Amino acid sequence: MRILSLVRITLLMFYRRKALWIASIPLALFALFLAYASPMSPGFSNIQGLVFTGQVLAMFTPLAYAASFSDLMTAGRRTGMDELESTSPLPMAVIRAAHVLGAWVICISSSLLFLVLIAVHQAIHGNGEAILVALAVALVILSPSMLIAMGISALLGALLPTIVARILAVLAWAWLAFYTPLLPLPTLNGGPLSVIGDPIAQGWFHTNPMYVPVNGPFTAQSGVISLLWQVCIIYLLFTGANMASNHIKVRV
Amino acid sequence: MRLAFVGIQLKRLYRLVLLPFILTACILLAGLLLEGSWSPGRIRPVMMALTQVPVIAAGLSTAFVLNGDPIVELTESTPTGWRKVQVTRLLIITGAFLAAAGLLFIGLHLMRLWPRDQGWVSIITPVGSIFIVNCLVFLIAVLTMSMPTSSLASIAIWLFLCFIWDPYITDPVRQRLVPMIIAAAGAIFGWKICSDAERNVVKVAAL
Amino acid sequence: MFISIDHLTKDFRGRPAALNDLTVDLPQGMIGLIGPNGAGKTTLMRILTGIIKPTKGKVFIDGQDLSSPANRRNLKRHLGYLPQHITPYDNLTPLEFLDYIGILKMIDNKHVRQEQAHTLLEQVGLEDVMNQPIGGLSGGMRRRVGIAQALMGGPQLLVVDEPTAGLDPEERMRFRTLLAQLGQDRTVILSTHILDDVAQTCPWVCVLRFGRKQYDGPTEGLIHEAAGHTWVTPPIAAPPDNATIINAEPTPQGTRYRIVTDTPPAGSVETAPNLEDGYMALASER
Repeated sequence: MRILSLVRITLLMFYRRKALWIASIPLALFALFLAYASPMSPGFSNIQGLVFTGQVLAMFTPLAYAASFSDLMTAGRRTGMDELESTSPLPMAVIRAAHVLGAWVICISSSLLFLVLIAVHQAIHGNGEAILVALAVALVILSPSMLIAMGISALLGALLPTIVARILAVLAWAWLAFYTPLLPLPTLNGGPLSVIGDPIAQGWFHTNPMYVPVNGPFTAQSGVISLLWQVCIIYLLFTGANMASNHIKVRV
Repeated sequence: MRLAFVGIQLKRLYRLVLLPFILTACILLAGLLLEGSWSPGRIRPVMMALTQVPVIAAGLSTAFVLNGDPIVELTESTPTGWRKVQVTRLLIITGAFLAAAGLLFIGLHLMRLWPRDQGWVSIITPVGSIFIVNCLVFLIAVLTMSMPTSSLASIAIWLFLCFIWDPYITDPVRQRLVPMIIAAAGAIFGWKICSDAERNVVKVAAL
Repeated sequence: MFISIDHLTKDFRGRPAALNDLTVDLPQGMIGLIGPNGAGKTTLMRILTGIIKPTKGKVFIDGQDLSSPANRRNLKRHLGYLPQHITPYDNLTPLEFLDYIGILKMIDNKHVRQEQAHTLLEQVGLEDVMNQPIGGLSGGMRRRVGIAQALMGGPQLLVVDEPTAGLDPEERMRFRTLLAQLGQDRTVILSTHILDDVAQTCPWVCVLRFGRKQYDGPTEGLIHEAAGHTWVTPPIAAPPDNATIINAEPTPQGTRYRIVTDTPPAGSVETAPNLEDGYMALASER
């Protein structure tokens, strides 16, 4: 009950950050436009299109979230709230997890809204399962990507000066999400460790992945491995950010 | 006296003023190293990616510089005022990134590594990008006084330019003219709003 | 500087009026501005410093109407302001921060700024740390940097909001002495909840409550509000009814209360009032 109350208060605090909500909407719209205009797009009128749109949102919107949340773990230290919260019987990790949840709500809401609107349009035209698929895509494709980007931002923000952390977080997400054989960089894309939902998109929703799988089409098991892998990364990133924040001195 | 005022701002911001030149030097060095060992066709996509880094850094640096100042109220109580401080910071950071972008273009253009190079007129693209991003980030910073929101907005603006606008309008002048006019108008609007001392003080207090 | 405030009202959207038809004349010298939280003290100070504009009414400082932007700008050249919450830049030294404030105050000459900064930092007892980053200083030292910056430019009007918050007793005494010296030839408006600071340094006091003036006059006059009404009870078990409790002192036999009332409990001894008593007597009259 205590944790639920904590989550409720955190959601209320983040709900009132209107500027961030408003800035998220054009961001999601840009990504939506890219999904629509992409030559790979199956359109908005079928499940494949819904999943593809979710993946495009999962690739592009975290670029901005990586830039925005570098103070997720350190803001409390500057305001003195960290000190106050550390006197609570609740572990700091739990309190910070609530902060992450509040930030996640902001990040997911505008993308989820547009996905649901597309799904409602599909449902009206006879595709009954579209809304469920939209919610599932938001949960298993969009959310992990966003949380990974936020985690990278939070970890780097706890370790490095703010501006350096923000720039590096954006570049780190760009490396994770975008791949072309023309660029001489190692990549997770094309394998089950991809963080943009390819194994889940193909393995669970039977859609075409963004990047051609290296070892043949993804299966349902690939999807499971991918999701578990992403959950592990998220856990490690935020745990690392939490630990770093506890040990590193305040920077202006 | 103006020099002293700018000087003190530079003293606080010198690392961010150096950042674009460091990025430029690194990108030029990468170009130089790759030029000797890779084909131009292979280098160009690398340069396409790398030349976006200063634009991303410009927006995020501007968001950082224009937000989070703890003495807004105090500054408003002086004859100088908060708006002048913000505009000076914006000009310093934008000037640095514009100069570095110019140098980057010149270097890569001379090495024939600038992506989609249409001659010297292509300098408008990087310079214009930084101008657009910084002007609009200034407006967002004035409206929201929030670093996360300004940072998010800077990436959203860059995304729009890089992935939505530029691929469809390839002529450098047409590519940048309208967005620059819009960005300048936005900055002027932000400049007008910033003159309201009460709003500046009350908004910071409310954050 | 002589300050004349004429029917001043300040409304904020969606909130009760912060100032409500306030009319008061403030003389030169040390003036204490006191009142409960939400009384309008900070709003009044922000109007006097030209940061915000009133909804209605006028403010004249030495005959100059503050509704004119030129007059406001001119006032700011002769103004020193210490807001309640101030965080000097962590990555500057106190010397550099004062230099910065001097630039903001349009003190053109670098040597004049540097000299003033050195003198002020010595006055507030920061001469040993004037070249260390502010980020490494204690809270009290940062507060003293804030006090020093308010004095840059030799302001004729000094507005200080809770200046001694976070200062240790020694620092508070030093600051009081400094303020008292400053108040001799300029106007100093001191807003604080520490009534002892006002009693020691301010011959004139203005009390605000709910955006209105409750008292404006000599500090002695406010103290006198409680004359004949201030008592110390014998040790008793429970607080007395119909009395404003100023202080409670536990003793083995019970608690001795210092109260302001017209009907003291039996055995109470009348005592000479202080500013706290006068303020509470005024508050209880509402």
